[in-house]
Formats: sequence, structure tokens, C-alpha cells
Amino acid sequence: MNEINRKNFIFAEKIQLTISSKRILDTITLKIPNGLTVITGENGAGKSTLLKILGKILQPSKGNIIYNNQKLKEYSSFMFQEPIFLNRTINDNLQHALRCFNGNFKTSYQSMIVSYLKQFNISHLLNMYPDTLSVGEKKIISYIRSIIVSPKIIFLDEPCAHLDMNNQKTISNHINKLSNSIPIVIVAHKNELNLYNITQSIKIDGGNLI
Amino acid sequence: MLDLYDIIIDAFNIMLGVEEYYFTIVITSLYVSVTATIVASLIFIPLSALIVVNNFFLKKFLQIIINSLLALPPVVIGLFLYIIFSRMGIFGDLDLLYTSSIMIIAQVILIIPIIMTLAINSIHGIYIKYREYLLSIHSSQVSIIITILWESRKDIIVGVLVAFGRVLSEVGAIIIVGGNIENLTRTMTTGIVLETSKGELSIALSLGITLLLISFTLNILIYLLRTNE
Repeated sequence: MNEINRKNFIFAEKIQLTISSKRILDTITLKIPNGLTVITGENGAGKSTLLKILGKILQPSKGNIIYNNQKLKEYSSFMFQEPIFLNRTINDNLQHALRCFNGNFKTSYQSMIVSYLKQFNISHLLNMYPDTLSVGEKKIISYIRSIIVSPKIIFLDEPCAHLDMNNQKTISNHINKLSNSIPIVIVAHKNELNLYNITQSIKIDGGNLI
Repeated sequence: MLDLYDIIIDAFNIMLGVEEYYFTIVITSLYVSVTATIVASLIFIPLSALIVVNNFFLKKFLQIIINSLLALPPVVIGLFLYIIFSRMGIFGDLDLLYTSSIMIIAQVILIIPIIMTLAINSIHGIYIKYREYLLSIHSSQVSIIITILWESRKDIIVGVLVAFGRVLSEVGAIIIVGGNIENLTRTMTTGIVLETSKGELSIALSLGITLLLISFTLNILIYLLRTNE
């Protein structure tokens, strides 16, 4: 408990995850400070699983995740490696996320959504269905959905994968800028590391920190 | 004695002429079956969603029970309701036997397992697909249930139509509790049983054709919903 303080936003203590008697994560202890924390490792190393546990999407088999502030836990947002969308227009998907996140189902967030889409030059996607979008467009919308809710901490799983150079730059610049005000934890591959202003780098292999 | 051709012509004349006896039976059938389907859907579809999103002791056992009830014979439901709603039964004072209300109760009981099994299957798939996303945006349980119900609405509507088709063609339970009383509890199926036994094949056939037409319409709707996905 002493490890959690104003400098460390999350303290993960002896995290283990076992699924069907297979050890996915093996006694991981780490701290998430302010700024940008990057989790790297080979495919299947357990990066996304660790991110999901830190973001409270998955429960570890053993160990604790301690947040230094209850609001961090309640106002975290998560971007998945494979974007998940409801079978509704982009506008309705973003409205749904905002309404659930804020617990306010009567408010319309139309102007906010339009302004975010404009900021990323994808206003034309507003009334389109996710099935009709390219992988890259889905990634950008998924990123927008994770930041539009004004979270206190963000977990991003490979936010720049499957993006062209321009979009990689746009998203990574945005992440770098945002990490000056809130803690961000991302999963990234080695070749993407030069895109980010990294505060802390964590490498994971075979479910262990190295 | 009428030959087959005359019976068919008479049956269509009854249908096209909308004779009062025929019309009352069709309306009673639709009233009982539509009400039972709506009541069962409004209660047991949200309950199915609640079962899907929650983990609790004996959840799997409950699902096995619901699946097993699919095979429950309608006459047994009718007999059971007859016993508890007859004068000697615990609900005898309600005086519901031989009314359309008891027929609705019988049909609701009959379609609970159909509606719940189909709803649970379709909602479960959608819940697995969206569970992590809904957790990531901190959805409350109510908004999770509303979201997954909305996202699985087509499959749920198919289930409701299947259940409606099932109650509309049911005869065993409602003939016991409804009594097949003219202008009150006589439905298309119980009417067919009676008119056939009386040798009134034209009216029986007109009811049979109407039942088939409704069933055919339901199947077209189910097909359209499924192919529209």
C-alpha cells in the first residue's frame, strides 16, 4: 500500500492470471506513474491481458490493483486492439458511450461528437455504420471514443496499429499531448516506440516482466 | 353428404363472408394468443437478460430446468391449472375457470420456456460480444441490459413470433381450462376439434385455413427478419 502515492496512479501487486490451468501472467508487480507508460513484448506475451487487468476489464486470479484515487477507477476508458462497435451509426455509438460513461441518457452530445470527428478529419463518417469502415477508420473512431468521454486515465491497446503514417502521427501526437495531463497506459510494438514520449516502458515476456 | 369440393367452397365462403361465428372464434384466438405472447415477452425477456448478465448459484441448473420445460405437455399444464383453479383448488375463489383469462395464463406458462430459451441464446451471444466494451464504458447493469436487448432485438422478435405461433396452434391446455364455450372461450384450434367431431367440416376447414394463413405470415416475417441481418 505504501507504493501508492501521488506519483504513482496505479499499483499492481503480485498479479497472476491463470486460465484453464495455464498461467497467462505470473506474479507481476508494477506502478503506473503520471505520463505515458508503454507495455511492449512479443505476440502472445500477455500485454493486452495485463492492460485489461490494469483497466479492470479482467479480474486477476491473484493479486490486487490499487488506484490512488477512486475517480481514476470510475472514469477510466479503454481502447481495444480489435475495435468493438454496436450495430449503430458512428454517431449513435459515440452517443451511447458518452451516455453510459456519464450515466446521463437524456443529454445529446451531438456538437461534441461533430467537433471530435472534425478534429481528426473524419466528419464524413458520422452517419456511417461500423461495418462499412476500413480497419484504420475503425481504429480512429475507437480512439476518439476512448478520449471523448474525458477520462481520468486511458488504456490503449495498440492504438497506432493498422494506421497509415499520417494517422499514426496524428494519433500518437494526440496521445503524447494528452499524457501531459492524465496518465495513459498503452500496448505497443517495438517499431512504434519512436512515436511516443515515453515516461515508463514495461517489457513483458511469457507472462513475466523482464 | 357434401363432397370435398363443396366443403372447400363452403369454407372459403365462410371466410370471405366473415360469418359471425367464424369471426368471433378468430378474434378470441388472436386476443388470447396475442395477450399471452405480450405478457410473457414483457416479463420473461428482461428476466432472460438478467439471467445472462448475472452469475449466481444454480444458474446453469436454472437454464437446464428452463430447457427441460420445453418438453412440458400442454395438457399437463391444462390439468394442473384446472386443479388449482377449480372450486376445490387453492385459486378456486377467483372463479377464472372457463374464462379467457385462465386461457391466457395457460398459454403464458406454455411459452415461458420457449421465449426464455430463445432469448437467453440470442442475448448470451450478444453479451459475450459486447461485455468487455460495456465494462470499459462503465455501463450500469440497467444500461447493459437495455443495450444487449436492443442489439439482439431481431433474434428476440423471431423468438416472440415462434412463441406466438406455438400458442396460436395450441389446443391441449386451453380446451381443459377454457371449456371451448361458444362466443367466450372457443378458439380456432378448439373450434376445429369440436366442428370436426360434429361433422361440420366446412367451418372446421375455414378455421384450419385461417390458422395456416397466420402461420404462413409468421414464417414469412421470421424469414424476412433473419435474411435482413
